[in-house]
Amino acid sequence: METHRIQPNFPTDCERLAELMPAYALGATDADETRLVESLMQHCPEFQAELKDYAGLAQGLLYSSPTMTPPAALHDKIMAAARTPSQSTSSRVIPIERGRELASPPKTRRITPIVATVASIAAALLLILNISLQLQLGEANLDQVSLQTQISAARFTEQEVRTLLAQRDDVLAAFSGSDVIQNAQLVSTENEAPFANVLYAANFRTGIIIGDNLPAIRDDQTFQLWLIGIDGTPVSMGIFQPDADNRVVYVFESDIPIDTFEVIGVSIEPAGGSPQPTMNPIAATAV
Amino acid sequence: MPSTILNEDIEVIRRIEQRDESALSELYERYGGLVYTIAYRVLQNNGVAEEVTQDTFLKVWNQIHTWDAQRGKLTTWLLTITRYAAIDRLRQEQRRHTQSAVSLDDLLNLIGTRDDTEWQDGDFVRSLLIQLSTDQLQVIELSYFQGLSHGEMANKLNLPLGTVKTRVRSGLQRLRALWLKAIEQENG
Repeated sequence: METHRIQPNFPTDCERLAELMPAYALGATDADETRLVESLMQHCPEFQAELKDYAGLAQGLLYSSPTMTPPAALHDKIMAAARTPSQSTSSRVIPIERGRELASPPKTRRITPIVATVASIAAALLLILNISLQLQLGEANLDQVSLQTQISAARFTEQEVRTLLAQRDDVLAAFSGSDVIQNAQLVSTENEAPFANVLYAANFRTGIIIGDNLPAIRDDQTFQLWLIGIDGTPVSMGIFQPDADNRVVYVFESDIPIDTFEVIGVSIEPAGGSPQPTMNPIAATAV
Repeated sequence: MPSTILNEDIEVIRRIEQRDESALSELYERYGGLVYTIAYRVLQNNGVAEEVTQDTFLKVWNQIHTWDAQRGKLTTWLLTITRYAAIDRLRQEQRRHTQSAVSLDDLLNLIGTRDDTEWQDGDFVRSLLIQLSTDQLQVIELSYFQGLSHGEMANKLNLPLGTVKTRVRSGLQRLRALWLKAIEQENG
């Protein structure tokens, strides 16, 4: 059986090798290109040092993210699995939907005052949205007094009412005409603790972040909201600052439908925001 | 990386070979964060990143004989395994069936023959990366951390194949030039 070997055409093939080496080191070459690089490498030894540089650079990328803290329980899970022969979590063939676990509530959750307050704010916004729908149907007159009365009747605190009223116009504008409201929870990427709620309309372009116990940040920092596509590309949805009580109600708009993204994430950025995230999200949820 | 840490790694590996569970625990305490970070960067999902991290350490526990100290430092081996496992998992989720273009062994052979100390300094690497253009960073991210080939990136970004190839090449060439310049400045 005749074996086909690539006969290098110097210097053209070595130049071709030089072109492909960066992509090869990153793993971006397709199968044919990979075979070509590996074949030509034997014939173009002058490029071996350069290829090793690229491989070193690629290795460096592994260290280019600030180190995260794994979930606290992971250590014990690994140690328990190590005691079971040939245990492997990824040997399961059923794919896991991207972000599904982020979107799912913890299996056991205590109702804490914090959660209850966030839930109450979300409920208040839903009340506003309900009023909005009534307004569209001609069933209610929307004015500040009636809105305040209805919200007060739901026993929200004065501050919550003030916050909600301040956001009223944005909220109404955002959700008028929308008939499907999705409610998800942004959770800490470090320990999956609740961070904030996010309301958005499926196939719509506007959402609302509602949180009442955001972590403290420095004066020279800000929270920045991102919509992250399936390819990992983040799109900034603007920056927001919690109030003195670490609360926030933030309305954001996207040029393209929110549900075409995979993940909503929040990172801490320098004041004024960043064109690209400078750190991994501190909180996220699947869309 | 200081040689003392390297020696500690070798000692931990020796104990893992002897099925000392406390050694696996030490290894996780030392590198669990790094491994989880890579898994999360690829998968962008806590739960799946956790599973890949677990699988990586179980691979160390069950297949420690596959690590060759002559071919690369332990951290490089761990993180490279993690990246490959995470990309494979990502492909499963996305129903992508592309094979790894470069084999793990080939890559480790390439990396293992050079002194990689400076690459393990995350601040140094980030200081170089921020000097690249957004376009260059995007294709580096997609190829290295999402496992996309030239053609797959061109489809995803809706760009001509040649444009993607140029961005990948120029990005890494620029990174190398910045690195050489930094080394030159450091040496004086």
